Amino acid sequence: MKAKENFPSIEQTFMMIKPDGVKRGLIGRAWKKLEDAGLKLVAARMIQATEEQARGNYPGTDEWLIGMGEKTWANYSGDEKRIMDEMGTTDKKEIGQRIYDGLVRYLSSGPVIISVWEGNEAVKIVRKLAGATDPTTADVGTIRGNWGYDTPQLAVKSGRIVFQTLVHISDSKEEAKREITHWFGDKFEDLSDYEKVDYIGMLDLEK
Amino acid sequence: MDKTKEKTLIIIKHDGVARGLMGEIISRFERVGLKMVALEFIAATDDMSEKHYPDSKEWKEKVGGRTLAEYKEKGIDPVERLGTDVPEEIGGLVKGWLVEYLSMGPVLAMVFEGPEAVSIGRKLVGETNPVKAAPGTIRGDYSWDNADLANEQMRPFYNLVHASGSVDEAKEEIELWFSDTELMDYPVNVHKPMGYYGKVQV
Repeated sequence: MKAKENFPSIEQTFMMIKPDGVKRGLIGRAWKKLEDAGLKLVAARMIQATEEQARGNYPGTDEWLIGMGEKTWANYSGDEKRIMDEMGTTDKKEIGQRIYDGLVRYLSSGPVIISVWEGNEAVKIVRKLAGATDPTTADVGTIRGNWGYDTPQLAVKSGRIVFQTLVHISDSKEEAKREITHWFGDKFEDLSDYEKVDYIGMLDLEK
Repeated sequence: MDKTKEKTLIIIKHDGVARGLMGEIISRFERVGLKMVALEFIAATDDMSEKHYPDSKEWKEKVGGRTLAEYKEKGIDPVERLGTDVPEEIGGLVKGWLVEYLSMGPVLAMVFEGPEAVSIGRKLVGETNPVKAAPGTIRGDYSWDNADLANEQMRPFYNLVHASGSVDEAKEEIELWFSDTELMDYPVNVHKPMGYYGKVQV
């Protein structure tokens, strides 16, 4: 088999099954989607995220906090009264901070499965398989399209602030690298040196 | 011991990993109500695989005896093929094959917890010899391997999964594969209607 270095589109991406996915017994079914698409497992562990680890998953900068606040404003179509009623503030940065705290509470609320997957165009393919975060528009057949139901509105009404999305996946190859280091730390060991059935005979054809 | 907290070690061996059957196999444990309390994708060293299988005379005789019985059934001369017909020695050879199998590539080690987790684990996995494993079990559904093939290739059954054989074995195996801090404690949703917390109140 030719060395992986010959195929720049074969990349690694990060996926986490969040506490709601674990508690609802969706670990196997989420992984099956990825395996069936030919993706190869590179590393995986079950961990209880510390608050610090959960916090570090997000940029947390002022700019990012304000951005999160702006998203909320957009979700409420700029209805200031409703934002005030339901979020307790209309300040974008403050809303961002509440969402940030909610995200940290969510990620550290129970064990998660962290994993790294490898394959051709892995980042985009895993994004596609996870589906849109909004379950009302996530495609049927995706992880969130099949099993997601939580929405920002339900989360706010029930006091959780942040809606649950079953999985976290990387947005880009660069983010994947950062997330792998962040979540696995020195426990990361690349175990990709094996042949996954789906790829047999696909990479070693001579021109 | 709290009987709802019985634990069993399940390892998806490398053939299951390479074939992309991990998700499917995990689902079977999740849907029966067992709770995953530990998981690690790991390349077992030879030393670890060595320790995973017992080293006692008793175990080797049991395993060697099984192989001898299969050879007899198939009319194979054990001396000709393996150079011995002493059960303990054959058990030692089989152990070597098992170690090689467990170390052939990365495996997925997991701990599942629940009432009678060990026997439920064995039931879901099915018989050791895949050709004899019932349909609906993991081995029965996903493997055609048999003693003849395995014997001819001087290897153990490629039977996808390891499941602890007894509560005591599970305890030893879990200690070998995981540290205490890697074992999680949390509630799974399905346990409420299943009576895990007591009789369901209506």
